[in-house]
Amino acid sequence: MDDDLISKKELLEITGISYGQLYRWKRKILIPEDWFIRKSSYTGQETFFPRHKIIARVDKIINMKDDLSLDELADVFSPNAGETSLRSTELIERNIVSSMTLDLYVEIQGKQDDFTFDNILCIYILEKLLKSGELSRDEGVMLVRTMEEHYGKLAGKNGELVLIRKMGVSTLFLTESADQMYFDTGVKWVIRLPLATSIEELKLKMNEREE
Amino acid sequence: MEQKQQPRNDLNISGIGRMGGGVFKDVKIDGMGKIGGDIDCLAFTSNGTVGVEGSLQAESMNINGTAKVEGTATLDKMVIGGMSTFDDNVYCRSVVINGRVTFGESLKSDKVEVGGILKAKGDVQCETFSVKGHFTIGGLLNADHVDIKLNLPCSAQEIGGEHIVVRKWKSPRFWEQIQHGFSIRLKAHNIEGNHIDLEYAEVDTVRGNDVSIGPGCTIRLVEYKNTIHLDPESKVGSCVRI
Repeated sequence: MDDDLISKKELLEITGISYGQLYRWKRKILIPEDWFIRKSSYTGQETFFPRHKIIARVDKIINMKDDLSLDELADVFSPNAGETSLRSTELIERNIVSSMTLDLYVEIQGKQDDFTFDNILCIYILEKLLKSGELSRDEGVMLVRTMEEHYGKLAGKNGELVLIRKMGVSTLFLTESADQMYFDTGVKWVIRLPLATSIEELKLKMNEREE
Repeated sequence: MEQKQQPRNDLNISGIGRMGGGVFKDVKIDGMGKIGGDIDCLAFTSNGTVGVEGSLQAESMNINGTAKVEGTATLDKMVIGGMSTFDDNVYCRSVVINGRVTFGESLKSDKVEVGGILKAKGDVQCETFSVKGHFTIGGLLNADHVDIKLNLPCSAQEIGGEHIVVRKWKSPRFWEQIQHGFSIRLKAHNIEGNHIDLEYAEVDTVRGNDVSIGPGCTIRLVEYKNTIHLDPESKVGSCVRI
């Protein structure tokens, strides 16, 4: 765990950002409070961050801050679902999901006019995994059912979606964290997808079309 | 939407009174008032003693006597001329303190102006923080612009931001000439920012791009990136360029 931490000083050196920016982003909750880890070091108390998470986040903020205001960025990074709901035609027109995926979703869940953010997230993840070829159609059905039934319980948390396979039989589940999970040797991890990244991607996709 | 369906009425307490909370237009308390629950109003004015046992939501809050809010306070504007205590978190766009305010948790704001005394046990986060008085912050003071005019001893655990300027407000007076223990200083463990300009500060570590250390400072370690200015009258343990 210790190897994965980066000190504040090192972070500023690597990314080239200033103290002012870092503190401003902290105020706007672009960097979550629990990433600031206080530890004592030989120079007194120092602040550390989880190395991979913080560098990825800072890079993203730097890349996106020209297009979006800080408040909009804060919205992108928050794990809370957006308020928006869209109609099926809008989803297709705005190129958020393809009509094929949407048809599959409708086939499973029945026809509906308005899609909430959670519904759209489910369709978006379905599309992403189907396109990458990691998910079969039958597993897609499983995904939609699981997401629709259980996603609400994880809303606002940083959940993960996991798919494992053993001897051609697949199991899919949602969990708050897949860090501490061990299986017997025949099990293969097929997919491990943090929901928060998909939420970020989807929010960005929905934002850029609005402008 | 809900507000339109429900007409807001005024609440006036003159003398001694107790109310259970609710939704009001203007709340005015002259005397002693106690509000037993959550209150939602447009303007909250008190000229006497008031206690809110629940949360407070208001557009403006004006206190000239004493006030105590036990729940969270969500305000747009607050002007405190008397003494106030907030036990829980406070969110307020603009804060003006001329009296004495204690925040039991943290304060989140846009603009904080202190002419009196501010005490916070948690963090204070805002865009501009200007003080001509006294403050004690138990956590982090995180502000874009920090402008401190020392008038009384001040302290914070950490200060972070873009511009940080600490100045002494008045020239040394009577007490200081008698004994140095009365000297007015800013105490902090860490100060980190882009532009740091300090006077009369007692800090463990100062880190910044452009650092200027004026008279009367005691600092263990200064780390700077671009420029440094050290006053010969200040004590700096070590100074490193990174």
